[in-house]
Amino acid sequence: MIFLDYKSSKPIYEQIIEQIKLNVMRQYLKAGDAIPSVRKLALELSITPGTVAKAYQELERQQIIETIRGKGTFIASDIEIKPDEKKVLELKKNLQSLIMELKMMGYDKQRVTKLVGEIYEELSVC
Amino acid sequence: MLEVRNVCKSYNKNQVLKDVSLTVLPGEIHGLIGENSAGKTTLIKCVTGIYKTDQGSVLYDEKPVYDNPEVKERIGYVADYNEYIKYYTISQMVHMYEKFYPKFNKEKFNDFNQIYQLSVDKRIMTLSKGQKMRLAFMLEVSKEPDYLILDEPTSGLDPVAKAKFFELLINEVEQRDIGVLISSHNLDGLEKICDSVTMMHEGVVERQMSMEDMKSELVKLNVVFEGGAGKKVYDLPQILRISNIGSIYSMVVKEYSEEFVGQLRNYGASLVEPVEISLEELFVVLEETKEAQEGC
Repeated sequence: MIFLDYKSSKPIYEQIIEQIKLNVMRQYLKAGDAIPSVRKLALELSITPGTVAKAYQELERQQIIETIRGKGTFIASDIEIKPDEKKVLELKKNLQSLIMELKMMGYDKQRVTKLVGEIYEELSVC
Repeated sequence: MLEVRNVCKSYNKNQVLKDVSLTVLPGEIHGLIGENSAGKTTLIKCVTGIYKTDQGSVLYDEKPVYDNPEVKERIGYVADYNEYIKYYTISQMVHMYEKFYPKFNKEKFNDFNQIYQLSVDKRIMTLSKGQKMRLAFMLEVSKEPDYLILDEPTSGLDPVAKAKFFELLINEVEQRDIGVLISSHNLDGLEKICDSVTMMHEGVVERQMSMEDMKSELVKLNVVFEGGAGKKVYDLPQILRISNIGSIYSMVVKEYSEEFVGQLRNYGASLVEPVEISLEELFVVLEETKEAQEGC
């Protein structure tokens, strides 16, 4: 379910968060689906349980997963997508530098928009 | 909660444990690591109430373990070397456990044996080291203890049995919320199950922290110096270990920071890439560094 890139500079727990979100977006994981417990996922990925716990805590905070004591961890039933203002601002900065690089390589607005559209499609259906 | 408080233990004049403290909460897996003769097995024998401590105390939910059958009943203990009555068959051994431990769950034993597949008519003396280890684990877990103390439980196990062992162990921890203290040299294995770790050296607790913090203590870097790394780089005090293949340098550093990366870039590094360090490598580098310091 989750593939880690150990060479990436992106912290492992962020990779877990991202991949679970991606699986939810693509509807591979649907509301109510059980996901592995912290310890099982740690064992499977050969990483420290603490790292998985950190990712799950963040996902819980964002109400993407919920843990029911004694039952396990599940994808939340109604995932409310509410943009986090601070996060959006941070992402906007990232986008700015990415778009600037594309512009330097001769991409015009139309091509940039097309590229963004393509990526968006890739993420939602697969 | 299992609490080890300021335990000291000597054999004759040789002090093996010096002021050792640790705690294991229910639902937690605590790893115990250290080089040979660091005092791990002695500590475990104090924790299980086999040895009497010279000073300090070992408490389970505030009750002392030494000479206290009521507490011992709640502890499962797999020793590094498990002896049973040689001429007994496995089923006779199971029967004996049933008599000794009222909570012994024979169904559970049988479920485990579906996985571990020991034939119950075999006599103990005919079992291999790995089979004895499996038997010990199955018997002790089937006692349905509140705490499990494991001394090198993966030694002698083949890779499949080892993987099963980790699976069964975490199932127990998750389902029954038991506290586990596990000593092992199989650091790859510990890394993926432990919440926290105690690192011992010559009878003293040297480090005690969450596995995550332990792992972030040292960072491994791949660094490219196109013209080769100069002496200045080798002299950086943060670098504990460095080696290279051509212009690609692999280093293990302490006190990793942005400033340090800046410094490497100043000295001509064209690429600095952090990679995951394994607990195994971390342990080896820490031990080496210590030896170098002691040698001075």
